[in-house]
Amino acid sequence: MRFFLTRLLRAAVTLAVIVTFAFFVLRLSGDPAITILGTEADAAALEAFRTAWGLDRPLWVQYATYVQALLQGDFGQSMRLDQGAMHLVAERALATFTLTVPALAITLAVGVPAGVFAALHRGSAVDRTVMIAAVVGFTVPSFIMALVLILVFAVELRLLPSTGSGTWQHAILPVVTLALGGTAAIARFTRSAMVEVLGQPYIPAASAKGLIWPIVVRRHALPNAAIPVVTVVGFMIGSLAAGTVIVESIFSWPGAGRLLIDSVANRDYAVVQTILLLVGLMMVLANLTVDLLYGWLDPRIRTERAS
Amino acid sequence: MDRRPLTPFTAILLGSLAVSVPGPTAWAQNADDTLVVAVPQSPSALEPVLRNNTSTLQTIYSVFDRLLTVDFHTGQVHPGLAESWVRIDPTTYEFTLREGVTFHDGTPLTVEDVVFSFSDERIEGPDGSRIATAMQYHGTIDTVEAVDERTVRVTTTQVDPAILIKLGGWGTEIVSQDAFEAMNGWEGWVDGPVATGPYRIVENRPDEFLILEAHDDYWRGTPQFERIEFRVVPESVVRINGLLAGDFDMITFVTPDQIPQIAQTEGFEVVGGSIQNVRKLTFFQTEGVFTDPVLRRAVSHAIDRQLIVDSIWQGLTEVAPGLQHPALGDLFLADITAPAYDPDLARSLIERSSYDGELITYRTQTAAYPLELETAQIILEMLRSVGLNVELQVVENWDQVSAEPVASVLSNNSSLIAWPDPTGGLLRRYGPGTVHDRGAYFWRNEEFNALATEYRVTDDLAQRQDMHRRMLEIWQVEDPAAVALFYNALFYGKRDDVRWQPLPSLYAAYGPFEQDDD
Repeated sequence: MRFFLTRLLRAAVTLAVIVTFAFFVLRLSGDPAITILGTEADAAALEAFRTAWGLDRPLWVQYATYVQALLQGDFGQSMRLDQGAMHLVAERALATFTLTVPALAITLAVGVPAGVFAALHRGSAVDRTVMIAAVVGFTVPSFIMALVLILVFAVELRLLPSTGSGTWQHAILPVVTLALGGTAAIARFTRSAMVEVLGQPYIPAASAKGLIWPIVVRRHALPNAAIPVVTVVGFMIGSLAAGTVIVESIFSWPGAGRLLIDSVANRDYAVVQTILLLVGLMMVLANLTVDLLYGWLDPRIRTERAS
Repeated sequence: MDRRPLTPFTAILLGSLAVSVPGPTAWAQNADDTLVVAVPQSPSALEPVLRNNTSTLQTIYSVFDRLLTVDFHTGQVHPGLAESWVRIDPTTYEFTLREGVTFHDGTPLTVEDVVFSFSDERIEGPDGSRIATAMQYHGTIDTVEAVDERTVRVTTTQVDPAILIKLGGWGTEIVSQDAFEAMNGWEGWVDGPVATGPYRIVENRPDEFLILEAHDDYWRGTPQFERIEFRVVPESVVRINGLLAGDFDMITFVTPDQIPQIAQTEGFEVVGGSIQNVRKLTFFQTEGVFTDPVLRRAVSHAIDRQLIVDSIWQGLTEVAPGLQHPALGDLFLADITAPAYDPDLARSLIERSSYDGELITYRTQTAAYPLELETAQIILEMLRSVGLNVELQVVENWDQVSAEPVASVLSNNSSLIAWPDPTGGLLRRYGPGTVHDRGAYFWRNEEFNALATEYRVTDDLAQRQDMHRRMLEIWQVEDPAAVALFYNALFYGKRDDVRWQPLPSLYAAYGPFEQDDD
């Protein structure tokens, strides 16, 4: 119970810091009136815009108003699109999930077995092949990978659409782009963790007890190797809602990542703050889940917490 | 074949893809009568009186008509929704509306619609907030009233020789009063104004797409395209790939270095060129070294404008001879040229000025304009080579460009010639009551201001030409307000079988009479 209360308190403080930091940094680094109305707008129009959105009030008054509204569940209104910020962000986050969830599923389905397989065949040609592929996937930036995929599958072969949304085919290239990078990272982490675990004395001890090798791997190696992998997956889950800024921009996918970019550029305060709050919440929840998984995977951690 | 049922997980994934991401027609299935255009941004507003920024001018121009139309090449005024007009006295005009014009919803155009279109309720924007950028275009319009069923009378607060041109320009679009009221005023109106133009707004999803469909009863004839889809693709490289992949019929904002990739591919071409928009270097002169006009003149002579045009723009635009454009027609002063590139003269002027090596900050964004950072880097070296101590400061947005302190600061800027008259460009931005008459961009010259005031009410062409000449001399030679560099240029990549020609303007028109009739 105390563990949960501590975690909840930490989460609340984290979110409060995010909200406050975003609020002040955004307001001190740009005026939305000129970015939204444009440079052709005259002074009267700019002034009218600031008055209409309360931007002419002292900063601390704006902050107090914002926090008060937030506590009542009012996330504010988008100045650029004139819609409720939470409605807008929820709609776009859903579009982002349609990329990130399948990408994460592919990442885990391919990355973990590839890493385990490479570790079990350490030093072999298979290991080297998997690791070279992982290094390439991990080091090539996603925007390069995306452009290569577009050139091959959209421009040359004309098998898939280059950008946009609307059909499941539109999702293939962005999902593959996201999955390639994630799979490579997971494969490398899994292999490293497995190699380390397989070198521990309890592995030969288990074999010496007469257990067959697949059971040694499944019962003794995999759970112990899972902890660092779970940590990385935790970060990936935390960024599911808006962590695909570059891929969404390149593929013109109408997700939360692109919304974040456009909203920051326009200083659309309410939307940026809502996205950051959502990302913060996702991160907090992911960390909490990871902490719980640690205890489930490693009884020593569970015992430590209990004591 | 035995087909296994979907697992719940797969079903959720496929279902979410199918349900949550609605969009326009599928890729590679563009009907011949549908034009798919990739643009970098959604229009920032669908009601033209609210915004006149590039994203809006590029997408919704053909949704609307005005009382008059202006030829963007010659500056000549032609009939629009008004088939004729008569000048009653120097401040009063009467316009006879064309018969048989219908709005997108099928209702007929009436004089009441015209009166409503110029009313405060519309022009001031939602709830009378006065955030509408069109207000600056309506400065001299005093009243708009119905005379009879087909006649509208427009009076101006003073003699305004440019009033006809203004009535053919942005911010004077005629819309349906009944539709406005049926949509509960501004609340619904911002999502889809109803007008008389060749295309009507069907659906707009910000940051995704805008769909227009032909207005079949359009009074000028059937529009060429049954449907136009503007798809938002922020990255220029991806727009090009999408064009070459067949996903788009046309793309906007092609930069000169990207032209060969498109033009050398069979079946594609690039059209476009310079537009009525002057790129400038602007001085902040409320304080600091640029309060001295001699130093501003030195900066002007230190910049080799032709080199910038020839190198960065590959000769595809032209040096601007001040804040003017040939579309001004009789008011374009062809014998006026940009101040000569003369580094020796620049050094000599620096010697004579009060400049003593102070640090000058040149603020630039990376891409508020095409090739902005590249242009700034060249100018930086040109200024340094004549002995100015200049540093480049890359900033993120316009607010940071004009953020305090502004002493000894330079920045990039541009001026749109919103209608083909000096009041649409030079005098819209400089002179009494303009954006440069107050605030950080302050520039004031008493002789210029007096001429500007007189020019606005002078009818005689020869006098207007003389005054325009003198104002340009002051503006760019004697007391430089800014350094006019070159005309911005816009290039479009398209399939070569798409019959469409750009305007020499930021506006992109798709109406039946703006097409290439070759």
